[in-house]
Amino acid sequence: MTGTEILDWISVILLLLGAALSFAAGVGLVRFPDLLSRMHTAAKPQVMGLVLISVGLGLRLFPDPRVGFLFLVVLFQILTVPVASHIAARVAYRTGRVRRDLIGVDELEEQLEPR
Amino acid sequence: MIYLWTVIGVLLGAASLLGMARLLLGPTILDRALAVDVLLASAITGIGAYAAFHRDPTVLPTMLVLAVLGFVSSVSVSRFVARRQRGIDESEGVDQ
Amino acid sequence: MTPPSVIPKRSPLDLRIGRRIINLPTLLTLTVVWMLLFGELSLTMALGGVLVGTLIMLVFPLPTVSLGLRLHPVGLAVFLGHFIVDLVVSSARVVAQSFARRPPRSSILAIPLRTRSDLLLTITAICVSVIPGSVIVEVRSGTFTLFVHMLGTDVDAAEDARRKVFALEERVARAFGTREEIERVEAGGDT
Repeated sequence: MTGTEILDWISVILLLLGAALSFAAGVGLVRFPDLLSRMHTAAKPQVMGLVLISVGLGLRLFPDPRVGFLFLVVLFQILTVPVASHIAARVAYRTGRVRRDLIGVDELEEQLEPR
Repeated sequence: MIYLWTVIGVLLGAASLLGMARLLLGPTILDRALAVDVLLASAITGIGAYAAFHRDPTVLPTMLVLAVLGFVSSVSVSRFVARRQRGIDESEGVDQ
Repeated sequence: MTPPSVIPKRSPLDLRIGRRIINLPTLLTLTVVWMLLFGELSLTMALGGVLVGTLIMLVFPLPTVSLGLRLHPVGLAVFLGHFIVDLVVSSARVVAQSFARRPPRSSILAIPLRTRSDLLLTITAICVSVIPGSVIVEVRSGTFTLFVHMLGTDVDAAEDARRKVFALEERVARAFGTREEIERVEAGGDT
C-alpha cells in the first residue's frame, strides 16, 4: 500500500464516522420526546460530524491550498452553533415547551418565578 | 472501498429522511426549525462526501455558505417565535 | 459604545485614525481569513486582506472591550486535549442515548461560575454548548451563572455534572485567564 492509499483509507473511515453521526442525529431528532432533548442531537453531532468530515476531506484533497477553507467552515460552525442553540433553547424554555415529567432537577424555574 | 462510499451515501440519505420526518411531524415551529438545521447539516456533510469522492474542491464555498445560512435561519426563527409569544402574552394580560 | 468621557486604555497594538481604532491583531486575523477564503498565499492576497480588513474596521467600528486574554501554552494544551476527549466521549454517549429504549431524563442546573471575566464566561459557555449532552438555556452575565440543560442527568447525577463544568471552567481559566482570574477560580470564587 502506498502513502496516498493509506491516507485514502483513513479519510474514508473518518467520512464514514461523520456520516454515522449525522444518521444518529436524525434518529435522535425523531425519537427524543421533547424539544430540549432533541436540541442535543441536533447541535452536537453536527459539530463533531463536521469536524470528522472536514478532516477526512482535507486528507483527500491535501496538497490543494483550498484546504484552508475547511478550517474556516469548522471555525464558523464552532462559533455559531452555541449561539444558535442557546437562543433556541432559551426561547423554547421561556415559551413553556418543556416536558416537566422528563426533568429531574430544575434550578431555573425557581429563579424565573419571582418576576 | 466503493462499498464504504455506498454506506456513507445511505447513512446520509437516511439522516435526511429522518430530518424530513421531524419536519413533517412538528409539532411546533421550533421543532421544524431544528429539523431544517439538521437537514442543512446533512447537506453540508453530503457535499463534503461528494467533494471527497471526486477530489473536487470547487464545492467547498457551498459548505461555508450553508453553515452560515443554518445559523442565520435558526436564530431568525427563534427570534420570530420569541416576539410572537411576547405579543400573545401582552394581549392576554400576562406579564412576561 | 463607551461614553466619550471614559477613554479606554490605549493598547500599543492599536492604530488610531481620527476617532476610529484599528486593532492590529484583529486586522491580522481578518487578513488570514481573507487568504484562507481564496486559498492562495501571495502578496496581492495579503495586501487585499489588509485593505479589506481596514475598511471593515473603519465602516463597522466595534465597542472597545478589555479582553484580558493571556495564553498559557501548557494550560492551552491540557484544555484542548480534554476538549477533544470530551467531544468524543460525550458524542458517543448522546448517540447511545438516542438509540436507548427509554427516553432519558434530564435536569436544568444552575452553575454559578467563579470567574468574573466576560471572556472566560464566553469561552466556558461555548465549550459547554459544543460538548454534547449539555445545552445552555440561560446565561446571567450579572451573576456569572449558567443554566444548563443536561441530557440524561437525573437528580442523583446532578452534582457530578456540575463538578464537570467547574473543572472545565478551571481548565479554561488556566488556558486563557489572567493570573488574577486563575487565583479566583482556584479559591472557589469567594472573593
